[in-house]
Amino acid sequence: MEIKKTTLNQIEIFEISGRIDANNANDFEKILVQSIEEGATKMIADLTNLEYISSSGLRVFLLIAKKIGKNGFIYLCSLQPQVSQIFNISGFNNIFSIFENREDALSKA
Amino acid sequence: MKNFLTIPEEILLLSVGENGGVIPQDKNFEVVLAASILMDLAINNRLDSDTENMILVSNTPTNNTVLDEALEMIFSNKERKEPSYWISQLAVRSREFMEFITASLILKKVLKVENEKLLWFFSKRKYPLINDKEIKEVKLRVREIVFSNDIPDLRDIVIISLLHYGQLLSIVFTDTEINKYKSRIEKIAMMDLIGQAISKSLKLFVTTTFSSVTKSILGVKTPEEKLSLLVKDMKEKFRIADDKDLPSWLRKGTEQYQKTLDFVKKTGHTDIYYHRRKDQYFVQMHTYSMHIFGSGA
Repeated sequence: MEIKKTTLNQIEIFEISGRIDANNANDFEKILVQSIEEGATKMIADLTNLEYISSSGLRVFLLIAKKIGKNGFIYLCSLQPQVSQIFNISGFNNIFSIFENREDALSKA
Repeated sequence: MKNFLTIPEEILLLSVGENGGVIPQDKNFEVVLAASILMDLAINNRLDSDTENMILVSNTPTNNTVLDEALEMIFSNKERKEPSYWISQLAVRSREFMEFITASLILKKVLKVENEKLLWFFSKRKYPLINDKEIKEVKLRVREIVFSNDIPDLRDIVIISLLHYGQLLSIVFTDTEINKYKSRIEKIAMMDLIGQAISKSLKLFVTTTFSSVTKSILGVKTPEEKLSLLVKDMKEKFRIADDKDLPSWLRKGTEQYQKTLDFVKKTGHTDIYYHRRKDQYFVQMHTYSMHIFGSGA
């Protein structure tokens, strides 16, 4: 897993690539939680290059959404079909705002 | 922060009820308890899953007897198995796990143990609650999350998933509430992948009926026949297809099976279970209190 973070108009954008599973979910969580603790309330996770996500990875998204709560948002965009399928099966598509691409996500931010 | 109670402890407490008392009698409870062990291991990063597989992550002990017993069982098996396999393997040992769980709850000062004399030769063990704070807290948490539109945390998802797929929702909700919040409950129950995989397996178990064999034990004369029927019953109940997947005390040809047979001959009972750590057999009465009769050693 690799994460590249950029900031645009106070929105933190995380480009996540590779796999998120039990082996790296803790690291992934630490990075996102640190951003929240430093004051981030608006986040976009660009999943263009995310190939795989397991239950452990989904839990991190759930935790982050809960931590941000009503004070901000975490939008997801550019999900690959296999990742999108996992979000649909788990019903996470009902919890998260999911966009076709980063531009759409930014325009709603 | 580490939770005060494990998921199996929370499930047991919910099932015992606010009035306290005896270990749950619900026929689904054994498989729900087994599933709760797997789910706790997943929460504690020992297991992971995707839409198809249960993945073994780490066998680092959790320092909880029940979870570590399960961890040892799972990691000592070389073949990767479906959650349903592990539910059946853990469910066979559910009586033993219930003992560990009640002991842990007594140690945590949630339950206390009371011995009540029934007849001159044995006593009935009951587990009244010291206070109902823990049960009320779990119930309140679960109810609040279902009645709101808030994002549940993982623990709540797991509990709701177990209650939903184990058909135990009535422990926490009224029938009216179950009907009214059916859709919300279903949505929450599906939010965790390992929960989904385990819960799907759970569904298989709770829809199985298994009373015929138990009933027919009554008409059987010899201990050998009685024990054979018990084995058949356990295989049917916990969906064990192959004899090699039975625990040794129920597997014909093992030394432990012979000890089981000796115990059946001695006591006449077949509603029994074997406690591996204690190396002792127990008779399970219909009240689900535990009565100690003798050693298998």
